[in-house]
Amino acid sequence: MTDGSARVWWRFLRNPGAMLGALILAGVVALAAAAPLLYPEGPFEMVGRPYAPPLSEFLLGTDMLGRDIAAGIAHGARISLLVGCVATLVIVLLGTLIGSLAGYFGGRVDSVLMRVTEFFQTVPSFIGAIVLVAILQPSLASVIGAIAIVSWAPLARLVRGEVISVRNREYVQSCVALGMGDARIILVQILPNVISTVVVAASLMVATAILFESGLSFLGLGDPNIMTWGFMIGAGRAAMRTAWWMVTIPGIAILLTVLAINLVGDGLNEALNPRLKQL
Amino acid sequence: MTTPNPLLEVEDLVKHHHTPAGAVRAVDGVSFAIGRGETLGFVGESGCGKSTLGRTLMRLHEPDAGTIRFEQRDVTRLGRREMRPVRRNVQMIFQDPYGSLNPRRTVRQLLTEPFQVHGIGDAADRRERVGRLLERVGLHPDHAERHPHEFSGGQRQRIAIARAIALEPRLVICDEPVSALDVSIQAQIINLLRRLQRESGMAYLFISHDLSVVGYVADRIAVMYLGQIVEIAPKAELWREPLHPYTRVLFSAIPLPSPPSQARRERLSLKGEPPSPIAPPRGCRFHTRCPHAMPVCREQAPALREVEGGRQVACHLVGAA
Repeated sequence: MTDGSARVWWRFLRNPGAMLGALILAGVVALAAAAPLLYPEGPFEMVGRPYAPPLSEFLLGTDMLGRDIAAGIAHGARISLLVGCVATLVIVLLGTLIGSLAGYFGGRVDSVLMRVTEFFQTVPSFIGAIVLVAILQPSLASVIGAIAIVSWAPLARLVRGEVISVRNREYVQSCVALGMGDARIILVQILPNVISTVVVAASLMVATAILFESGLSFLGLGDPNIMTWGFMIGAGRAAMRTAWWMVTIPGIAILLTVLAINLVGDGLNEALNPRLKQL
Repeated sequence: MTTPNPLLEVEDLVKHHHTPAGAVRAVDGVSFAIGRGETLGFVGESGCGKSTLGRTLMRLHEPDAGTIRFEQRDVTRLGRREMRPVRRNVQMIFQDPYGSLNPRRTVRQLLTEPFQVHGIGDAADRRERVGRLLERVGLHPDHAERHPHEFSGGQRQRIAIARAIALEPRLVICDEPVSALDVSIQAQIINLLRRLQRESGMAYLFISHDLSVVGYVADRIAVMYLGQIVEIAPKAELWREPLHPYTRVLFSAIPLPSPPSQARRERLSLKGEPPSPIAPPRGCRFHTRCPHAMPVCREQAPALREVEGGRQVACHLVGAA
């Protein structure tokens, strides 16, 4: 598949939107990686006078307690990316497992698993996440868990549909005819042909998970010991009229990150499923 | 007709597909037997249930009723684990060589899978077997590292055939194995299948809508209409004189090589479309399109009866032997 993947990369690299997204995303990742070096004192340290505007003694100004907003942005990037990636990983594992079992076995297994999936789909996801975090006590793990629990259902349905379509292809039938076991058929024959769809859906889910995390922190349901973008907006909103930067700068950080991930996701979609674009 | 010590024996096999519009009676009471090393051809229009029959025999579909016996053993209800040793002896070649090979696997992986599943040989032994398999089907052992998309349709079908014969099965179900190929390639693949049969003595159940293809490979031919066998006969007998009106229509549709003989021939054609297999006609299923339909045909379904020369026909017009 070497020349196949080369073609996929080529299509991705030629897509200007995807490249812009990848560039912004690389910047966010670099900022997150460099945060402990750039701001070793951490985001909660009061380093200067409160209400310092941007481009004064601090690049992005300070908040009402004199904490450096740039430090918050850098350390918050770590949390946003961590939550986005770990939650998506859990969603992909759960959604792929349930979707592929339902799609492959069909019948009663499918009915039971899809009723469970529909139950999770009918719960409004953000409200569900709020309730879960409230019950589990706010912490990084409970935020990630809550986001995963309310978001896996659509992916499970997507995987199920793809698995059903691949399952009926003749190459899978020929493996059944060979006497190959179910686990091996699912893992070796079916999932590699479903993975491109999952990759595209998962890349967009990272963005959604980051938005969820920001929303929860904004409402004060994040881990109180961790600086996140959503928490900065929530803390700064009281001072919005006098100190616009406390809210605007983390808002721009969320906007750029989510936009970048969406651009990359769309680029991946076009690169991996080029026929969709021609239709 | 009874084949002594048959390889595969099928009795009253039924497979209905359940759809919102009702049960599609794809295979509706089919009985036949295949002897060792024999080729039994199945012909019929598309939608007559011949592919469903092949897949049901392979247990890719679960049969609704009837029995399938392979080497005297009832395999109709065997579980997946018990089926595995049977599958080693019964393999399948599919119609579409573009669909029957996983695009993400190399030829080596595709051809090693049968040995992995059945735990045959070690890595070195399997390598050697793959090389030999490729040579047997007329490909080069160096082709093993490529992916299916790097091959033509005919070459892909050779790979699919290599995969099917890897375990030295006693029966190979060929489901329209050449229908998706160019006419020029069809002959090569059919000759390959015949050569492999001579070398290893396996039996074929050869499904095709093309009577001339089946006529070339088969020892006996079964003609299917709307989920049932209407006539089953040794090839020579069938060629000499088709008995069932439907078989006669099929025969008259084969183009003859010379225009004068084509012009002289009586041309039979069928009225209308085949009836829906969801609600097949009462009585003889063919009576709605049969040129010789009698009142009895509308009332009573004719049984598949033995006539002379080891052939069976299901028609009120044909007297019992």
